[in-house]
Amino acid sequence: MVFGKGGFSSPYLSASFIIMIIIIFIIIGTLIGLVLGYKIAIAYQRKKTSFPQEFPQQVASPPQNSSYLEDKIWYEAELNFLFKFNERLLSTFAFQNVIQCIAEAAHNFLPIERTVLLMWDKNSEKFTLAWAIGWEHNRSQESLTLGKDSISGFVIHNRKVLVVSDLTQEPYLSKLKKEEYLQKAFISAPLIFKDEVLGVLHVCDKKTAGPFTQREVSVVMNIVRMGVIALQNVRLYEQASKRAIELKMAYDELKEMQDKLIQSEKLKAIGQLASGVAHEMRNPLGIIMQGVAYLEQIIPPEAKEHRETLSMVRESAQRADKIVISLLDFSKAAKLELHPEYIGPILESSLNLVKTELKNIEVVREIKEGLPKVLVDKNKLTQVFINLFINAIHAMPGAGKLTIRTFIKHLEEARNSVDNIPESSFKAGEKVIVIEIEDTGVGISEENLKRIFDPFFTTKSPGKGTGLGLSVSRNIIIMHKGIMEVESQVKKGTRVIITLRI
Amino acid sequence: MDKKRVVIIDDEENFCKLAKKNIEQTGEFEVHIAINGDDGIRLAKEIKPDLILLDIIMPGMDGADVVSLIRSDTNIKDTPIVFLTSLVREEEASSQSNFTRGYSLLAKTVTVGELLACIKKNVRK
Repeated sequence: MVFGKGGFSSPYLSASFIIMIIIIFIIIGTLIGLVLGYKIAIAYQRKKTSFPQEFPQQVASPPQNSSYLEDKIWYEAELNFLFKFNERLLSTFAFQNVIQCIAEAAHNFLPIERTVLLMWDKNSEKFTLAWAIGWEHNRSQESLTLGKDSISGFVIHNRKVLVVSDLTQEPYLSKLKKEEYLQKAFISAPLIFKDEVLGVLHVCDKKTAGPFTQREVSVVMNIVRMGVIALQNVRLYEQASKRAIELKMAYDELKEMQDKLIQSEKLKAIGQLASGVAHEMRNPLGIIMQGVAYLEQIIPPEAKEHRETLSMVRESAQRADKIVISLLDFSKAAKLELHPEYIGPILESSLNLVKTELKNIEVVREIKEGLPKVLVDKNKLTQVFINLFINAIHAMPGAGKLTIRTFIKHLEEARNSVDNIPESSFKAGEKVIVIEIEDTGVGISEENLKRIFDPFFTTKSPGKGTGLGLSVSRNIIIMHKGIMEVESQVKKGTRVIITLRI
Repeated sequence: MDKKRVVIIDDEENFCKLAKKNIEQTGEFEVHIAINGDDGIRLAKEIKPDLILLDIIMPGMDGADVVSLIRSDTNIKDTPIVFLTSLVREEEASSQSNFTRGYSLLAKTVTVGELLACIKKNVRK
């Protein structure tokens, strides 16, 4: 086989050419690989050192002419940082913690010397220093005087982020009052929620050369946006907590008032019922009394059993009549006849009326001399004292000590009457007369103590008490615009304290 | 000596009957009863009593009406009146009006002794 001359080159030559081209490609590929590998290694190194526990430390200022890879690394770092920032923001509901978190985030992520966060007080139209990193000088003075005429004021007025590369080159800012920490390059971002200005974040003095980049500005703006939401959350949380406390207090107050109202209405209703019942009871009781009296007259003295039976009927009718009188007293139907009286003699005369019951009871009088006259209804007050003496006597069946004490004092704190009526309440410091009736008797259990003023509540055996004595007594004291309280300890005794205005 | 005439005006008939027995038991009084205000006035005009025991709360004509009619009748206007009532306190009666002012007031549950003492004190001498 013959090949034409010049139609083809030498086969050896062609092979060398192909090999050369392959070698050139290998060299170029190796070079590209080396460059790329180096860049990835550098980027990895940066990423590795950028994110310690809390916040990423400073990232070296990215090159001005960024490549796709650098962008990717930056955004990944920013995303990671913002994720951690958000996590930390969400972990607290304390205002100061959020403030600190915002300032530290900006300071740690960007290559800067100082970070200052100011909060705006719309009432005083002044800034207050909330947090500062890298700036210690004369803080309070600065924040006290900083107002609308400052660079911070300019930022919140414009409601836009201010990026300055060199303050000396910004003539319009030089007219303003300059914050001392705002040197050459800085970013000032307003903290705004909806229309409300909350403050300003200053990120100042870039460590690396050149102005702040768009990426850095974007990070500051993201920090501010997230921070503002967190601040608003804190504020809402605080408001909700405060409102919850207020609501709880209002609820408690309402409940107390309601309880008092129910008690008061209950007493009124019982009073009306008692009044009606009392009148209706008296007619049949009158008939029984007249009938018994008639029979007692006609039954001969020797019919002892008949007479005994009648006597029992009469006593029962009389007892029922006493209950009726108590009911009527309780219904408050009676009015007070107020006259200036000395309390001491009323106590003495009341005691005199129960003296036959005293038996082995020692009476101790601690009645202060020279007490002023008090405007009272003598008869009603006598009724109260008799009630209290009888209760005390019943509480000391064997023997005991009954102490009667009166004195004047100035109230240490304001006191409310049971119905919470203003005129029945006492102011702190008010001069009052106090009457105490104290026994060394069986005392009242805590459970019973809550009920002692309830109408018809009694621990006495049937026929001994109607359960109205203390209710009636307290009603009388309330009618006098006074307060009656009872303190008691089981097996030690009971003290009734009456406070009357002078 | 003639017995003093007493009229009891009270809607509680049983009370009237028993009180009549007890008061008459003394032998000093002649008691007539009326169980409403109209009958009471008629009875008072008819027998001109020496004392009227008058209930306050009665259906129809009450104690206050009876008093004003008695006081406006020249023949019986000076008749002594004692109120016999189921009310407990004088203030309760006078809280409605002042018509009981100056009169003796007796609770219906008083003993016969107290009732007689009050009658003797107030009866026309």
